[in-house]
Amino acid sequence: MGWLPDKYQPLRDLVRRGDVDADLQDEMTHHLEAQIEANLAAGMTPEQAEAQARQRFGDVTRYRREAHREDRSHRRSDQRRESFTVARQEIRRAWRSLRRTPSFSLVAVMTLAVGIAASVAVFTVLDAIVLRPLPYPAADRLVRIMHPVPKIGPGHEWNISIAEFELFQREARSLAVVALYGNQRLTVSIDDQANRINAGMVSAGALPLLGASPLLGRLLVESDNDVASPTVVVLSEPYWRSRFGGAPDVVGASIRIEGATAEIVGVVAGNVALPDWPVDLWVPQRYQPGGPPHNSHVYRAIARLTEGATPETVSRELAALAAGYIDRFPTVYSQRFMENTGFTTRAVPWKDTVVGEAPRTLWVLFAASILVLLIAAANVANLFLVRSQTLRREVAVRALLGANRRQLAWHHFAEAILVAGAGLLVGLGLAWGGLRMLVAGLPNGAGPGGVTLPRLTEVVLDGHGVGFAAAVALLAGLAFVVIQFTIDPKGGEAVRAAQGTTPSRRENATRHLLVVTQVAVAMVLLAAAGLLIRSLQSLRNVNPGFDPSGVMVADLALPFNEYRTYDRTTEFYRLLTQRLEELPSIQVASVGSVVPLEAEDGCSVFDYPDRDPSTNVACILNAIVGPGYFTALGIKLDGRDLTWADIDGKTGGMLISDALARRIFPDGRVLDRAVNGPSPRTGAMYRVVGMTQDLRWEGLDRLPVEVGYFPIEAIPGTWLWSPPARMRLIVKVSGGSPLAVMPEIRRLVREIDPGAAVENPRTMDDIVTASMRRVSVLMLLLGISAAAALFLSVIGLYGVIAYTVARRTREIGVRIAIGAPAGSVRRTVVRQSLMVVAAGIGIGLLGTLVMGRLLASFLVGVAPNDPVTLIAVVAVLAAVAVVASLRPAMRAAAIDPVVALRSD
Amino acid sequence: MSLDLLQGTLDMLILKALSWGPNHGFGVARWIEARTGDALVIEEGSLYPALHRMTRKGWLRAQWGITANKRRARYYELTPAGREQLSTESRNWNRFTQVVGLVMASEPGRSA
Repeated sequence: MGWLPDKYQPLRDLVRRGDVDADLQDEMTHHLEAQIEANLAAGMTPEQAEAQARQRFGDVTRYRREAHREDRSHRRSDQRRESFTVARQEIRRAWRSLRRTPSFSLVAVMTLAVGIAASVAVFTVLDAIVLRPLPYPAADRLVRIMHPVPKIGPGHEWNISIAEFELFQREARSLAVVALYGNQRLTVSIDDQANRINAGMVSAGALPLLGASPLLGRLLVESDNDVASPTVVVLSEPYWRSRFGGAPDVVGASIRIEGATAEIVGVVAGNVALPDWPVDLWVPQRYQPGGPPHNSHVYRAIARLTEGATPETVSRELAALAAGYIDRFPTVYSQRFMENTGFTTRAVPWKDTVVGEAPRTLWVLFAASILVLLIAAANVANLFLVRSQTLRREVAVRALLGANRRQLAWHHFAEAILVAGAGLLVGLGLAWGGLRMLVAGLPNGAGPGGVTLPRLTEVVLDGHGVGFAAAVALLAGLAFVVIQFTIDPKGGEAVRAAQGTTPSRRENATRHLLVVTQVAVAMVLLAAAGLLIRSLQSLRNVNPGFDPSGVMVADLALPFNEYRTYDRTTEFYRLLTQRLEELPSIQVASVGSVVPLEAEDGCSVFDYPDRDPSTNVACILNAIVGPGYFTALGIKLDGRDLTWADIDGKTGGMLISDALARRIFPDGRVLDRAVNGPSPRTGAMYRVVGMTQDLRWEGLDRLPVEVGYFPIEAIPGTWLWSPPARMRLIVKVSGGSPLAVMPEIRRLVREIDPGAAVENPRTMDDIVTASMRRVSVLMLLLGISAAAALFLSVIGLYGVIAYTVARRTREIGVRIAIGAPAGSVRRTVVRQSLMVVAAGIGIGLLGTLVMGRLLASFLVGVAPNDPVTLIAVVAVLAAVAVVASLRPAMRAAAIDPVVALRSD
Repeated sequence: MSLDLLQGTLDMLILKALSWGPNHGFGVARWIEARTGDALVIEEGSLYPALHRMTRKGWLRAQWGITANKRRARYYELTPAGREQLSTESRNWNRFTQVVGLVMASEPGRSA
């Protein structure tokens, strides 16, 4: 630079101070020097010249800092632009390189896609069913009100009575709205044709609570619930459109429901439904307002909490109300009743009662799907490692040519991002298709035995699921990068490998870790599947107590407004079963209110004269049966079946189950004993004519319950149940498919009464299979996961062992050269494989304990830590370890020391 | 004079100075001084943050060159975007002075 350099050194220092940019420094120095030069030329002394120049310039430090700040932000945006360019270049490069190796790309993408699809599908179902609120306004404040009656039976719960419903509406201050609801299949006759429809039977307050508003006419009002009012109904919009063509003059018209006339008063806008019950018609729940209280806790009640109330505070308030029942309703409740039943009152979130047991299944499946995802991701990570072997030379060349750390990072990252992105897209596609199949394939609703899933119609792949999938794919992509990058941060390893030096310990460790993870996951899934297989075996070995072969069941519905007397119902059933039995294809036909495996929780009081007054009345399952019921179902009896003579002669003949007999008649004399059944102890009595063996009523995995079988006609002088208009038709066929007789049945039913309906035919074998489905579906899904996990672990294991043998060729050669026998070489290799598997088993064992706890409620006849299952699983994995190492072991033993030592 | 106005105006003056051809910071300062004399007092150091900022915005391009005195100096040159900016700013400036002029020319009792 030159001009009086020494003299202006302090000036330069001033400008240069700190980390100031050299250009900026030169630039400002130039300015000052030029000014000083000009000043000198104008005749100033050097001191004056400098002082004047600095004064004109102003605060050097401040302007230097400001200008520097501008430069820095400039550089940063430049860097961003440069990074972007590098990223684009590397992604294009990665795309080309993935296309050059289509088999790698395809396997990696598909493996990841399957993992993502499985987890996303299960997550979506879990989200829709368990995590989201019910589709009603203020759904988080909706509760169901129940009465747990633990003394009646563990887990038993009653609903509420009408008197309580009215009391809660009046006095429960933390309940904003209380409403009754129920669902029913009803027969609606239009043009002499009987149609079965879904009805929601509700108190007036329920419709606004569910978010309903009228499209036409009005909703239900309180007076509609009064038994004294004329019957009215409200149509749902879909039913109005499909059945009445959306006619606007439908309000005021009347329809025949179950043989009685009802006026249509309105149409509900939109698609309001009860949980798992699409509603065609809303009918009022009818009762006598302010009527006498009854011990009839059969009305399902929901309520909306007031702001700030919680299910706990409501439960406390309702319990306080219930404490006054003995004074308030002395004809119904007594101290003794409260003590004998353990009567309490509880409000639980409505959603919990709707989804029931489903969350357990779904959480287990979710855990399994995450494990599958983990194993899939581990496998893809392993594929990436293998790939980086083959691509080493390329990476090494780029590193040697001066590619910087960022570029190499992008190289790893770009491939991972492309594979993860493609996996995400394909996975979402698979999940979407799978979910559609699931929703279409499974019947909606929480059926008996937990056969199907609740809220299934609400399951749809949406933002939540896509977000979850994206998060999963991002994590997987990052994991691939991190794994590759930690092994080889600077491409230095690649350089060394290209130069033929030893492999990195870090890489070997990573590969082993991945395989250990896979084995551990496989162990957990195998154990889970094993436990379920054992459970299924136990279920299959359960003697259900009946013979399902050749038996068909269908639901019969008589229009109950026309069948108000026993004479009519009995006549219908007699005619139908007799006509059916005249058909050569049918051996036995009978009716019953319920068939085995399909009973739901619940019981009715059962009393008998010999009861010790200090003991509780029994609470049993009441079955109402016609003659031939036991013969049709192949149920073994002591004594005899009911006959038409019993029913016509009103003999009071009835049967009880073995379990009930053992309890109430411990002396073993059962036949001809008198019982009251549900009636009070005064009055007429039934007579036991037979005793059945114990049956599984609520599912194969549920213990037999105590049962009383009463005739389809109650005898005079007992408490009557209404004439049974809803029955199951049970038919034992002579041969062939049981369902083949259904057209005949339909024809006969219509012939006897065109207003009667028969629907929902199913074989008893179907019912047995359905009862196992909760376990069998889970077993199937976990079994598939376990098989996939096992397969992937074998591949991973084989890969890592084969790779180690290849890398240790020289060392093995030396050992063979100094006399190691082939057998010992083979053993060394197999041992290494076993060590890896042993580590996986160790970790897997811990996971198995957790999984076992999750599974506990699904296990039948097997403990969560069943040693047989665990030993079998360990044996399988050990066998896998040996199999996976066999080929590498052979290869190791066959190494020619001369060749091995000459290599390199 | 407010700092904001000064800054905006300074940018415009620099653009104008450079519209005559590439120049270094010292040259720009000389150019402004020659046109304004003592009327406008600018600390010359404040040119530099402005020059660097306008470079970042893409209005100027900077290049090292040699001065007539054989000294290394950083030359700034208008880019097409800078030229565009200059014409926008001078249009705005003209409108501004016109409006302010009208306002200041009005007298009490008469509408502006």
